[in-house]
Amino acid sequence: MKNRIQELRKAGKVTQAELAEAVDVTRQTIISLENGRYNASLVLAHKVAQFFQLTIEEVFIFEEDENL
Amino acid sequence: MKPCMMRDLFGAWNIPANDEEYARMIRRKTKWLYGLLVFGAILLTLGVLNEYLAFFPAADSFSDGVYSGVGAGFCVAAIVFLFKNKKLLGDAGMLHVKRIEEYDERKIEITRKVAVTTFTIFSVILFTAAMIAGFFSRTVFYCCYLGILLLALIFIAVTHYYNKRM
Repeated sequence: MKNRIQELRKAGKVTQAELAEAVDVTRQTIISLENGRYNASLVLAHKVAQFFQLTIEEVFIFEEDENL
Repeated sequence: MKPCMMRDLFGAWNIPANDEEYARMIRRKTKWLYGLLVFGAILLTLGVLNEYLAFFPAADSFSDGVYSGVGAGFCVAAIVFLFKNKKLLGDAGMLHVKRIEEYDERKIEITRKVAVTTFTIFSVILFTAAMIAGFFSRTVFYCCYLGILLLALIFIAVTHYYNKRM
């Protein structure tokens, strides 16, 4: 699943550590999310979207052929 | 078994929603640590006493060493974790950091994958060991065989437990 976390974070001048602290995960998880190595759970996706005041669909891009 | 004991035994994936809940979980775990400390002290005492008094003749010096060693290990582990937990409960900042580190969702996902992979590899190794041991020692063969059976039974029981809960 692709996401716009890095783009939104940079636009809002938010550090990885600040985002991690706000959504209750480690900075390593934010790094993995940004690199596309890890797919966020629904709860985390909701928290991240809420942090940027956007909807989940605006932050995370689900591709049809994706497998979990 | 009391529901709280079941929760502590099978609640590895219970994620605390906030620091207060995490503190309550640590307090509950601390009670288990006192139990581990007492159990370790009993094993250590029995092992040391039997070495000198031999009130249980079937246990030789090797067994006494094993029991006292395991007992001492339990005691040390319990004491270390008791101190660690006490320190955590006394420092809100450290408690928060520890909760994030311990219950980070990526870390939990990694642990799940590690558990499944370990289980699979361990089962294959145990099965191979049982097959090879059959040529040399019946005792080792039956130990491995019993291990495989136990693993399968535990797998079925735990699957049944989570099927009912989820």
